Formats: sequence, C-alpha cells, structure tokens
Amino acid sequence: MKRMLVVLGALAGWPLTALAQPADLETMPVQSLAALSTAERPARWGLNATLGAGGAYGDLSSLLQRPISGELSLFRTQGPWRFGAGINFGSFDMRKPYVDGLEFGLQQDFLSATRMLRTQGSFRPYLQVRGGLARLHPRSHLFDQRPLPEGFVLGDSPTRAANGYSVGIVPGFEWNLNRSVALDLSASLNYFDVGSYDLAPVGLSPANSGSTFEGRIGLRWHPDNGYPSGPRTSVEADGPRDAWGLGRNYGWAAGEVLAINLFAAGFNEHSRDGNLNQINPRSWKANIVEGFTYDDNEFRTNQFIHSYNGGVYFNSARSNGLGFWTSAAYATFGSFFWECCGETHPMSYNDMIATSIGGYTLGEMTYRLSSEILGNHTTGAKRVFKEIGAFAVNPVRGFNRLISGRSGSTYDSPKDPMDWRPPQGSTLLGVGVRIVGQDASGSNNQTSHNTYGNLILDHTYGNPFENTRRKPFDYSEMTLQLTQGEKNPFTILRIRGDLWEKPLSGGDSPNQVFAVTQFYDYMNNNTFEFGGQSVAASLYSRFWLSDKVRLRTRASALVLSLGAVNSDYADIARVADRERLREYDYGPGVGADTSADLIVGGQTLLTFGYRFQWISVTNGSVYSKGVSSLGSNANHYVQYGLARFFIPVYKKFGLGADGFIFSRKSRYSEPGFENIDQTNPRLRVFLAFNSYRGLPRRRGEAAAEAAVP
Amino acid sequence: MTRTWLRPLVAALGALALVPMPGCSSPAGPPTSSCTRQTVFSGDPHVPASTQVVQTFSTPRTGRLVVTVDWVSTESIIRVVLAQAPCGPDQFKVNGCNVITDQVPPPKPLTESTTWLGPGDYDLLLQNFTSVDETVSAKVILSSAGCETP
Repeated sequence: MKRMLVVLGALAGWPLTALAQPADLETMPVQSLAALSTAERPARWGLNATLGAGGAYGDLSSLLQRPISGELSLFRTQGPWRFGAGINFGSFDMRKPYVDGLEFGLQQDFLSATRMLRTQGSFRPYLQVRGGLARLHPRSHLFDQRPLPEGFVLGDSPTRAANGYSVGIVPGFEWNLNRSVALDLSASLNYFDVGSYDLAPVGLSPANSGSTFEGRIGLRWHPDNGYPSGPRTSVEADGPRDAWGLGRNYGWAAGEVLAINLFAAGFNEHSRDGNLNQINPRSWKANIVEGFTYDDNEFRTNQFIHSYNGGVYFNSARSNGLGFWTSAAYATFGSFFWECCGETHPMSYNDMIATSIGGYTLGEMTYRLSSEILGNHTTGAKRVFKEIGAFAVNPVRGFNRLISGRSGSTYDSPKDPMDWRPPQGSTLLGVGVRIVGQDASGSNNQTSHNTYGNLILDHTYGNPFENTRRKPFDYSEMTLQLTQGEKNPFTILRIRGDLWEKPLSGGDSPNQVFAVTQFYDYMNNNTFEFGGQSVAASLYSRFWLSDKVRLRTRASALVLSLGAVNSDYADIARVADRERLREYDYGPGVGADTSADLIVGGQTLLTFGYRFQWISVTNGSVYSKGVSSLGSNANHYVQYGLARFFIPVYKKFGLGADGFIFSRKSRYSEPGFENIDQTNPRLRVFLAFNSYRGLPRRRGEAAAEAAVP
Repeated sequence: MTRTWLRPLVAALGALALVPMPGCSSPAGPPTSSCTRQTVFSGDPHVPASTQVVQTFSTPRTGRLVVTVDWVSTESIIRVVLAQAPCGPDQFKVNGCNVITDQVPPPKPLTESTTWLGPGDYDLLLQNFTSVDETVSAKVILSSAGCETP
C-alpha cells in the first residue's frame, strides 16, 4: 500500500511540469493556427462522463465489494494538458450474506490533471492523476445510528457518513468520433481513506480505507466547439442566431443541464444530510426499473422549487440560443435526469410534471423578465445593475452572459421590442398588509384573523389585443406575493402565458382573441395549499365603454394535468421511501378561470377574478379496497374569487385593496373519512405603483392610420 | 514520430500492477451463522377508532424481520409502521421517526419483510383510520443472517 501511495504521490507532482513545457499549439505553424481560427477553433472546455466497474481491496473490502461508479467532470484545455474538477458517484455491494442489502455510496469530489500523450489524430492516449474529498455513506438500515442524531427528522439519513480523501490515477485513451465527441476507454486505480467506520452490525472490526480498480467507458465531449454564447465575432461561422444574437449551442445547453443536476446532487450530499443523496449507478438502475410513483416532499418543494429547477434547465437552453419549444424539451430532459439519477428516491409523476411543464412556464417568464431588465447598449454602473438584476431573476442566463463575455460587452439589443421590452404591458407593485380569517369548518387552519406584512407584484408582458407578434408567452402575466410571518414568505406565484393565439376579429387591433394558455398556480400559506399546471382554452375580449374606459375580460376552460390541494387524510398515501407525512393530495381535473378588468386611461382600477377547480385524487386521501390505495374515490372542489379596486392618488401611485376568498369542499367516499368544507377569507390593503404601458388603439384606428398618406 | 507518450503510460500500467500485491488484497468477509427464526413480538392489541397504538420489541441480533398484521373488520383501514424506537404517535406525526416500513392495506392481512436491520429496539405503530374500534393481531419474526430468505 505504501508503495502504491509513493507512486501516486509522484504522479500527483507530474502536472506541475506543465508550466515548463511548451503547448502543442504554440509550436504549430502560423498557417495552421489561422486555419483553426476560422474553421476549427480549438475547444476550451470539455465534459467527461464515464461508467466504471471493477474490484475492491483493502480494509473496507472485508464488507464492501464490486465497486461501480458514474462520473461527470468538467475540464479546461491548456495545450496538451487538461485541468478539471469532477464528481465520482460510486458504490459498493456488501459481501455475503448481506449482498442483497442497500449499497454503500462513495462520493469523490476531485481535481484532476490529464496529460494528453497525443494531441493529434483520432487515437489519443492520456494519463490522469486526481485527488480530492471522499465520502462513504451507507444506505442500508443495518448501519442506522443508535440513538439517532439530535433533531433527526424523517428524510434525514439515519446512517453516519464518513469523510476523508482519495487519490487515483487513470490511464486511458480517447477515440474521436467527430469534432466534439470521443469515446473514452480507461482504467482507474483509486485509494481512499475515510477514517474509522464501525462495522460491528455485521460482526467485523472497524475499517478505514480501501482501494478500487475499475475498467471504465465513457464519452469526452467538447460542447463549446464554437464557443458558448459569446458575442458575435468576425471569425465565427455564420449560422442561425436568436434575437439576442446568440448562435444555437445545443451541446453547451445539454452540458449545463447535466452539470447542474449532478453538481447539485453532489453538493446536496455534503450540505444536507438527507437519505436521498447517495446516488450511484445502482440507484439509477433501481429507479428506472421501479418506474414512476408519487412522493411526499413539502408542498413548496414539489410545487415551486421543482418548477424553479425546471426553469433553470429551460434557461440553460434558452440562453444558449434555443427557442421556446426546444428549451421546453430540455426542461423535460433535465427533469427526467434528475428523477432517475439526481436522487436515490423513486421517480415521481408529480416531480416530472412540476419540473417540466412548471419549468418551462416559470422559465419563460423569468427569461422575459430578465430580457426586460437587460440592455446591451448601456454602460457603466447602470449596466452593472442591469446585469445583476437579470442574474437575480435568471441566474443561468446571467452565468452564460458572464462566462461568454456578453455581460461586459456593448452591442445591440434585440430589434423587435417583443423580444426585449414590448410596447404594451403593465406593472402593479404594492406594499401593505394581509389579513387572513377562517370559518369554523376549516380543517387544516392553524391561524385565525392573522395580519401579515405583504408585498404584491402583478406584471404583464405584452397585450393579447395589440401584440404585433404572437409567439409563445408574447402575452403573459405573473402574480407574485411575499408575506411576512407565514410558514414560507413566498406565498403566491401565478403565471399565465399564451402558447398560441388567434385573433377572432379583423385588423391588427382585434377586440376578441382566442388563445391556448399555459397556467402555473402556486398558493402556499398557513391556511391552505393549492397548485398545479394546466392548459386552457382562453377567450380574451375587450369592450370600449368610452374613449378612455374599457372593460377587458378573459374566460378560460382548464385541463389540469396534475393539481395539489391541502387535504385531510393525505398521509395515508402510499409513498415509497417516505420522507415525511404529506398534507396534500394529488390529482388531475378540469376547471374554469375568469377575470375582468376595468381600465381607465393608463390604469386598471377594478379587477375581478374567479376560479373553479375539480381535482380527482390519484394519490393521497383515497382508499380503494381490494385494488390499490392509489385509487381515485376522493374529490376536491376548489373555488376562489378576488375583487380589487385601486384609487389613483398621485400620478401612477395610489391606494388599493382587495378581498379574496378560498373555498375547498373535499368529498371522501370511504365511510370512515369525514367530508370537509374549508373556507378562508382574506383582505389586503396596500399602497401601490400602478403602471399600464402603451395605450391601446380603438378598433378601426389602425385601419384609419394605414389610410393616411 | 517518436512515441514519447509510451513512457508515462508504461509507468501508469506499472502502478496498476501493484493492485494485487499483498496489503492490497481482500480480508475475510463477515462471519456467517446457521439460520434461525425467532418470534420477537406477538400480540393482539386493541386499537380504538381514529387512534394509534405503539408496540415495542427488541431484536437480539442482526437479521431481517417479517411483520404480519391482521384485524377483524374488512371495512377497517389499519396502517402499520415499523420504526426504530423510540417512535411515539406524536413523534411520528411530526416526522420525527426513523421509519423502516410503512404499509396500508390492501391486502388484508398485511405482511412485510424488511431489509437487513441491526440489533436493537423497534416500535410497531398500528393506526386505525376508521371510526370503529379494532382488535389487531400482530406478529414479528426475526430471521438470522444465516437464512437465505427472511
């Protein structure tokens, strides 16, 4: 073992010689460099993804055997060298008789230096040395701690993780398949030491170290062959570009989705002592074999955080020059990859829907918001604030602008205002108080007549009647509420975006528009929970009551793909790998959503809204004897309504108030389950900035304008 | 073209050759024993309507458990939770228990075998979801490490 460590130590010092060696590129003829700069520029960044399997040796192999691993690493090329960082998600089976027990996870976070022994041709051997952190973490209940750690809650890992270090060498070779992708075959010799681990539950002495030898197969990928999302340059090959001047970079987008997932999973294992983070190829296979089920995460996690993550996947594509629907496919791919491979718990329907559909809804909204903030032509402090603001709203876009140099360059913003700041739109920003009440029949209500500080943001992008273009989300609306004193400050996020629109009356300023609208709903407070993703057929209408006064209405018939609502017996839901007792049901349904706005001049003074939603429960408070507990003999009927007025006081500032009422009627067919009715009123009073951007034209005005010479 | 890349490659392969040397070899595995099966809990607790009761038992050695629970009325819904002790109803309600299995019918009776568990105390939570009292029959058998199946 000592001899092996000496060899590994010597190899670890080897990369330092890179500084003393000329890079291959530096010795290339000038003509070759010129050719590269125009047609085949050398890639700067690359990804490696590998799978490995082999044998285990050393102390810990008294119990552990058959190591397998999956690995993702990111590297940067410097001449014949590649310097990078990566995460190796490994695991071991236990030896007989415990071989059918859950595995031991071994996560290694490493830095690596790779010497490419040939930099030309299709066949490129290499030698890599690596070293970093190692974390051994059993999944088997055999090693549950007794007593459990202080503050343990379901979902925490009951087993102890052991931390230490690992070093290794990886000789191998690449076989270039094309300009960007190479097949990677290698072997790895790895040594790790994680301190003493108690193996008493299986009758063995404590052990602290081990080594593995694996054969590996994988892919090396240079997704930046052409550079990611950089400013347009004269040497760059011309190709399709989006409104912000970005070339389509499918590879970099996919690489970001993979990296976000796996680096987040690796980070989670260190930051959160959960029982779902010990991912490895064994858990990946188990999840795919088991298929989809439902999970029991917190309402906020399932209905908002997953959708936010989906928005990040979406924007990995969107901010690499890809369109809405392609980016939606990336959100779906990212969601599936996380479900199968980002956590050890089984894949869930609810996560897939929330992350993919919720993801593209939230993702496009944040993309549009960040577009409104950005200004490529601005400079100085104003530019810095714009970039920071856009980064906060859309971090992955901000990251891509940063690494590509776009955040610091001055160049044109989109020519079409619909890609940047649409001429039509509105914003209401209000600060005030929110008062919540309850009636006697409320089942989950924890509070009575509570008053909370409150912030409201209503924002619309575009106008269904006036838009000069009708691409997905060219008309979209967002409602956001932050509340002080609630279980979570983020209490409302509602997004509506038109996927497709068809004007029903003539001209370019119609008074009726039919649309297919995507809904995202998230309401989470101490008294009720409601959320889901729906697609609706919507009819927008406007009626001119005078030259300056008009009534705008919307009526939507919704199909809810999967909704969630707080319930009374949801903890009976059959959930694999329980993390907690769920307090809400899941199910599809249909419903209706309507709104009416009275707009005077440039401000909305009166608003009414109503929603009806039926949810047929598929997982939660249901019980179908003799068949499955995943039955559907429970139904929820949810209604809520809102009435708001706004009184202008000074220019665009004024005083507003609205009343809201939430009603849930839950019907359980099981005799022992009592039907529950819940009603919660709410009142908000606020000071607001209320702006309506771009005054609309009356019907016929457009034609009249066109007729004027 | 000189193959300068051969030398480090040979060195690396030499390092790999160290793997099977003494000191890197595998020690003996876990000790095995003959197969024994032992009833570690048997009882007929009364579970009032809309409540839950807890039955505590101990396992003397590492093994796998088979939990079998039956009750009187086919209309009743009985949840069976096996958790590391201590795990009372209040602790369970606030997600404070280390849950090993969590079963609701169907089928009736409920039978569940666990993965490998270490020796120690365990709690069996029996929760009656319905509005009538129930008498529950529960039995837990421990299969030792020498048994091929639980």
